[in-house]
Amino acid sequence: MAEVSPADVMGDLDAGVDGVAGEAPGAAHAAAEGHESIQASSSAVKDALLSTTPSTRLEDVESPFDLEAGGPPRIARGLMKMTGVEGLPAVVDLFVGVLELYLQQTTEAGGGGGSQTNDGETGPEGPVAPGFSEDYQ
Amino acid sequence: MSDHWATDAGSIGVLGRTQTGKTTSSREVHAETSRVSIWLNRRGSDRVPNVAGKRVRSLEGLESGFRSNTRRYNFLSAAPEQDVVTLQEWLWEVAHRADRELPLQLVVDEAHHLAPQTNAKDEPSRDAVRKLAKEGMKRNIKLVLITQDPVALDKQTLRQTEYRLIFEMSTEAQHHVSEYGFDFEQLATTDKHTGVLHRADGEVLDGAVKARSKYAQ
Repeated sequence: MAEVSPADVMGDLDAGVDGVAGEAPGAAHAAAEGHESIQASSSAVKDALLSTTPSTRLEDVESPFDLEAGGPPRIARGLMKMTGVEGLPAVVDLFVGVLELYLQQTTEAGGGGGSQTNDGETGPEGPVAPGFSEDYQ
Repeated sequence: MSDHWATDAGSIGVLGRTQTGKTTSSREVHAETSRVSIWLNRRGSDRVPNVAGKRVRSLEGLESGFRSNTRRYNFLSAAPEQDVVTLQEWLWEVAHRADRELPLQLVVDEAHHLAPQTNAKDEPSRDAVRKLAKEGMKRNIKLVLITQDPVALDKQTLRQTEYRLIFEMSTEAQHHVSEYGFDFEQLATTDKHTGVLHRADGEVLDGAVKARSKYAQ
């Protein structure tokens, strides 16, 4: 059995100071090792949190002003960026889809005497509702 | 000095008048033991200036020394009555961490000051010394108690020691420790600066214990 030295004990005192009384020295040493691995993983997390490395290259950033891609699509993209999602949540897709369907059917009914109920208050086609253009998927 | 005297078997009380050889003998034990040895001095009364080791003034100094594997300490305490309490607790912790595999030794000089014979219920330094004497060896901590005034030393503390090394002492002191069955007749026949080593039951283990001259101050 290896002889214990004063420095060995101080290592245990320093690293395992929170150990429970009565623990075997092997447990204290294991606790010290675990303490070190916890420190290592938390260090990695800390590095990740504080990392300033950009995830998107500059050339991949959209033009700040683009008439063709702007307007409602840009508003939609802005909302997506704010919420940090790549696509709309399913429930929003459902809502938008239902609304689109309604508008489509309303438009068809207004232009071709469709079977749908017509309250007579027809008029020129209104502008496309924001966010519901073909460009938006 | 005989092997009996150098044995690690238990704590020891070293009793005798001043200039009789008790400190020199204790100094030899402190210098030559295989244990990690700490000599607790009162600051200004350095009893081991000629023993290689680390001089410390606080527990922090001890801890620093332990980290660098130093094995001899001269603890120059400004308040030994307080430091012995802290030291006892710290040694308990060290022994626990080492699973009692690190042999330790504490030399307490002027022990009658730290563990006085008193009826007081609460005497922290005395209680700490009692613990060291009674329970130290269970933790592989050997206690060496030195006193020039056995009359003033806590009786319960002295009773807990495994060995007693006696040197020349006053008649009053001899009477005070008579219950231990010391062989004062043999002591009277020894040379100067020579002690008689007894076991707790009074048996004489060595009738001529004398330190090497190099440890004389």
